[in-house]
Amino acid sequence: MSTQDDSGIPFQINREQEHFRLLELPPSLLSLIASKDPPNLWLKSAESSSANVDSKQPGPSAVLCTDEHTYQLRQVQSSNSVFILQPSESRCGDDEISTHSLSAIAQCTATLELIPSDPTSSSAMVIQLLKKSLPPYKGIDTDVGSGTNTTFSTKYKDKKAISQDAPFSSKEFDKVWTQLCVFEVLGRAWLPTPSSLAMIWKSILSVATVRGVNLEKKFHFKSLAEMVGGDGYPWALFIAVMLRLASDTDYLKDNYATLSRDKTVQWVGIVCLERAGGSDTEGISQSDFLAQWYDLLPEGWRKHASMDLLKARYSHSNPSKEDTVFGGDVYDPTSLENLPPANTGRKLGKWHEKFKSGRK
Amino acid sequence: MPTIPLHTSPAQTNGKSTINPLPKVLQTPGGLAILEIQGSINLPAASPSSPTISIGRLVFPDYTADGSPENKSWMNKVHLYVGQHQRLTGEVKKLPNPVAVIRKRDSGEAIAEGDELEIAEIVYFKVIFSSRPEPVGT
Repeated sequence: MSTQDDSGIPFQINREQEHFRLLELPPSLLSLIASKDPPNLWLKSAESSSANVDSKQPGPSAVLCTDEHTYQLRQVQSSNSVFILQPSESRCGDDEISTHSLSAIAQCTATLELIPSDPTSSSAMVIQLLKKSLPPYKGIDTDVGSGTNTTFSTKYKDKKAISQDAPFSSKEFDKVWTQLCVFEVLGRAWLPTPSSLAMIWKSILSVATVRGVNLEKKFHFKSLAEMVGGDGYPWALFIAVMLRLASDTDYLKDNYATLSRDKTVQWVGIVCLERAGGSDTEGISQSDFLAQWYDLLPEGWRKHASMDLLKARYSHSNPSKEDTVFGGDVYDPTSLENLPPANTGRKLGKWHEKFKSGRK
Repeated sequence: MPTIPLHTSPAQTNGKSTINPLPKVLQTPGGLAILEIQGSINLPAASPSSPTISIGRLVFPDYTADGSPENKSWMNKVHLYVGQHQRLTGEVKKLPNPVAVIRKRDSGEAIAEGDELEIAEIVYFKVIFSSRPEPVGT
């Protein structure tokens, strides 16, 4: 059957227009969506409230996420009129014969483009976000318990709430979460400071020595955790450290853990380096730093500590002499200043308006 | 809520079995198509008596419904007659990147728990008119 005759298809515009958005699909995403098992997709925007004291929140304001990847949304305006058409039936004349026609049910003035985010800068931005939004756990003096302070509950959030406001894919977010040993107690997430991590690690080492546990091999961690807990450290933080260092995560089933040598040696180095402070501090002499590092490693792993493992994570006051080292520069907020500025502040109502902030 | 799910397929398929008058290439599962005009259509002053404003006719002069699917030459010429006296000439173009048409999901339930979006359609071709209108006699 011919779907049109010589007179063509009647074309009309609906007075009442619907709202659509056009989203360009890059080939990688299209193949996922068109596959038999399409991924979960989310549109995420950074927290738009003014709750953040520091308005200079880094990162994009609106993104599209799969479980694993983040795409930044960019709105491209068009001066052309773009209509969304839908087949319709219209009656022409008085003869009550309906004809097949096309109705423009919406007009789109802009198209959303997707730009894959660079995973490295994404994780740097997640680090920034967590450092800004989480209360620091400074050590056993920080009260993470039931809390006498009732202002706790509104200010502090759990992982889900933070992740909802984070314009990154859940995999990217979780990776950094584990990397920073963030832990939750009673629905509140805490970010351990480098010195608190050094302290709990020291506690783990000494407890292991007392119990005759060799951390270089597979070990039963439950009794260790109890003793470390006895020192005043939260159980959740102990688990976070185990997750950070574990070579596999099966141990949760039977309370056994196997630490990865490479991860542990490097992590202890990072913790010591960050504890020493960034370039705004006096730094630490390289020999002192190495001494601290060795001191916090299981004996058999000490020979693996080398400055090479911390490449790009430290700087020297005088590169030729390699005397004083500074840490923390990697996570320095100022290093993110050249990233695209975020759109902040405005409370966005309608869903399609949320994308407008992504306009460039 | 800053996290909005985007469903990859529509919740409700278009229940209406309206026959799609477009050439097969431009037909999509839900029937949505994209038509682009360089410039804009000046709509007549509002007369709310009718829910639609008739613009004109869309003609694919070289298209035959029973033509070979390999034959794409008809795609080079599309006419849009606007009103009685103007005609636009355009073409059917394959989009370099297919476009997802996104809308708010109508859950059909009273309890709306935040906004949810859905991909109503993925469109691979569009009809584009990028030339000036030319006058035609009726």
